Amino acid sequence: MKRSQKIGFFILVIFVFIAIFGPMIATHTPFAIDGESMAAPSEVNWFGTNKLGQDLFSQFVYGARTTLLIGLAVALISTTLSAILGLLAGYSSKLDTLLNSIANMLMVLPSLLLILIVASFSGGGTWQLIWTLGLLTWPGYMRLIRASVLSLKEREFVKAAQLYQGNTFYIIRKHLLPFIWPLIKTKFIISFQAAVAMEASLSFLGIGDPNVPSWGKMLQDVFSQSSTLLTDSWKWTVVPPTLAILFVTTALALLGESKQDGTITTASLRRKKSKVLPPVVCTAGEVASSGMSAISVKNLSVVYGDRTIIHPLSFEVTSGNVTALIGESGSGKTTMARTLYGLLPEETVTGEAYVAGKRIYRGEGQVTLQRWLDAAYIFQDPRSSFDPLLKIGKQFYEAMLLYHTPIEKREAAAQILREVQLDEAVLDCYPHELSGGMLGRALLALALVNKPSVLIADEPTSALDPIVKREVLDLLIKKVREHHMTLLLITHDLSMALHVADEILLLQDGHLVAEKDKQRYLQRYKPLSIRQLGYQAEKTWEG
Amino acid sequence: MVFHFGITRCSLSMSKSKQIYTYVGVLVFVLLLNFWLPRLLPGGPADFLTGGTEDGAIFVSEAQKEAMLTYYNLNDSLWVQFLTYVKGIFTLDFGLSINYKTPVFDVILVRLPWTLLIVGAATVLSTIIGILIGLFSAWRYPGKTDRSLFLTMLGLSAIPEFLIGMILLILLASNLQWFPLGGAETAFLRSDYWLDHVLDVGKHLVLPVVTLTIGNLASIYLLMRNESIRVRNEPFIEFAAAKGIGERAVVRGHVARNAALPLVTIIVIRIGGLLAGSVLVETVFSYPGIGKLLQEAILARDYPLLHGLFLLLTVFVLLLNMIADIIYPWLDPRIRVAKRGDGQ
Repeated sequence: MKRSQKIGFFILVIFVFIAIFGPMIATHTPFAIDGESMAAPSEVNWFGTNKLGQDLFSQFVYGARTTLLIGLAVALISTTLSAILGLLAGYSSKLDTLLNSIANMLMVLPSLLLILIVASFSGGGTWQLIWTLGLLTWPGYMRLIRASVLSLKEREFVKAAQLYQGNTFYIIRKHLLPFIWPLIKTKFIISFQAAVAMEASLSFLGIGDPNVPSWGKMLQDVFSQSSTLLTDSWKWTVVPPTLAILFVTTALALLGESKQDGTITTASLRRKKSKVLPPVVCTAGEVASSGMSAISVKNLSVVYGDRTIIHPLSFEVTSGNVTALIGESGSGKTTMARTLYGLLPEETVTGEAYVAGKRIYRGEGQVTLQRWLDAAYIFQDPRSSFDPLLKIGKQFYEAMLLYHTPIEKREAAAQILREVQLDEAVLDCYPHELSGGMLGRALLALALVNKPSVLIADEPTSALDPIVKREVLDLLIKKVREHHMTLLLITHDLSMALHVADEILLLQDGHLVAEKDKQRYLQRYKPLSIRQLGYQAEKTWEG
Repeated sequence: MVFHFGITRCSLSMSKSKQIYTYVGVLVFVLLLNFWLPRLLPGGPADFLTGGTEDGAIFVSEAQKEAMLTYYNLNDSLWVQFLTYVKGIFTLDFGLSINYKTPVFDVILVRLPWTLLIVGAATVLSTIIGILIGLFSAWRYPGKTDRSLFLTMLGLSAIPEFLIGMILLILLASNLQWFPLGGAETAFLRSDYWLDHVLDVGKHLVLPVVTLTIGNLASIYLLMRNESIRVRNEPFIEFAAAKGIGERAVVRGHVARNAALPLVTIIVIRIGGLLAGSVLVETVFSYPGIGKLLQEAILARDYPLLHGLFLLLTVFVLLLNMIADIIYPWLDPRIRVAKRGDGQ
């Protein structure tokens, strides 16, 4: 439980106590007219009296009972309906159509309007109100539960249980309920809160049983007499029920907060814009430490919580080389690449990393990496790398810091697009209008646009189909060589690595494999992958 | 709005024709409720005429009885009554309001502009502020600023609107006397300058609009924050950040657009919720819009007026839903272009 949820729970418990024990110590009945009119709080009337001379303390504590009872009853009815109908709709496609269209209809109208229509015609008994609220408010979560059941039904363990002729109730109880339980819990609390708010609002409007004390009704009593606001009496007539409604509804809202997963693997967005900086004159020490390496890593490790993704490792990537970083999935390749570009939260990274002589983490001013100027990073899937709502051109221009006027930018972008065999017209297209291959080329062009000295590419072709894959890869290598850039290519495809790389780094379970073992690994898998490569080559070039 | 039992709607997943069926269904449903509920449930006019309810607390005058009798044609068979009712709907003839002794249509028409004024103002304000704070919060997520904003708004979204209005009324109007206690304009304001009248209306407008805004703002904030946090985890946002364009450009240029787009539908639909919420807010501030009218009609059991109001509100909500269905494809380039392609 979060702290805010604990606070909510605590407040709620207080009000439950008030509702249970309050009426026992009340010395008056809520509607007895036996006091002075508008008396201030005193020893006889602890919360004072209203215009009619009724004791406000007893109205307050009995009101707590009413409120919590209505909330509880509505939450029970509405939640049960949501759960049962959701399960039914998810389980039977015949009922689904019917239930879903009823739910859609009920959800079109705002619930307040729907409830007003029913409540204003039906007169206000407490139970009528409970049933109205309960029967009209199930659709939202019923649809969530239904969706959840529909997707669970396709899961293996449910299918297996069905194959073994598991009884439907057994399957629901054992296999579905654990998954939809959190939904049911949230629904219950939200229903409770909404019912409390709705009851108060309706009694405030004057709809509701006049013979049942409630907080909303207490406020309605006050507001139906315009004189109240002109005197000090609001301090005891208005404040207690107002605070009570305020506390109960907010407490329930805090309690019902659903879990939201934090992202520990993405760096915060808080980062300064890259700047074009004058060339830095390195101190002797820095030159010595970075040497001629384009990428230099010293004792770098990455830890998420208590899970170590990358164990301390060091390596250098020679300037102007194509270096492949290979490893099986889960070996930490992508994490490594993201670390080198500063895409990981700083607190997860220890050790030092330099790219193009610039420090990646914990560097300041001119010594930090200026993204897209010193180095660029190509993501796995070109389709999901481009913002779907912006034209390609705009996504180019915002990164082009070397050019200033729109015309210059457009010309330069067109020029670089021609280098990857794309037409200038691409700049006026939305990403979804281009094919995967075209987007792959556009992404490459975008990476070249500021002529960075280092390029990090994380499986740049894995989302493309085989023929396009080859084309984009060849283009990438060609451009890198042409512009004398350093490329760190992350891939799980050994044949690709052997085909293009000058150097190969092998990662296994977050460790960098030593030279001797790496050679053995390469020897072992080489024949296999060469065969694969040959096969693929045949298919691509002859097919 | 305060009373959101459900979460978000996925109207987009439904096809157009299915949507239309739903809307027609809702309209018929409301019409039937309007007709049958007063006749079948205890506490309706029939009960008043034949001896009152159990508690018998509501006093019905002879004139009221007479009016109800004519309005409901209670002596006719149910079928005839129903036909008369349906005919009235098509001719916009809801009969005479029992309270006002004038045609329902005219009574509503006088009050409607005030409600549209405060609901319109509140919609614009709450949308702009809600989206901006939601975006800001998501930008600072995870962090202390975001957490405290989130908890504040979560609490605020749970508080009934009338309570917010009442607190504002007591603090700002009753105690500090910055704003008038109620109404839409000062009665018999003696001034020949139009500006004085505008200022007067403006002064009366502030508290109702602020109340409606706060209620709606909190839910729009919550939606925008959730959506922005979701969008923030999309690869294209990380890619935009990788381009070194700076946090402001990422948030403004990429997160904001992508998060706000799916909200357009919800925001338009929520205006219906604001309209319904005006019942509470107008009651608190005695604001002479249709919300206050509705509350009075409910208390006075002015059934002809209730019919007219419920029907009007339902039609408004349905229209808003349709507008939402229409503008979304128009705003999203992915759908927009596909459609253009179909047309060619």
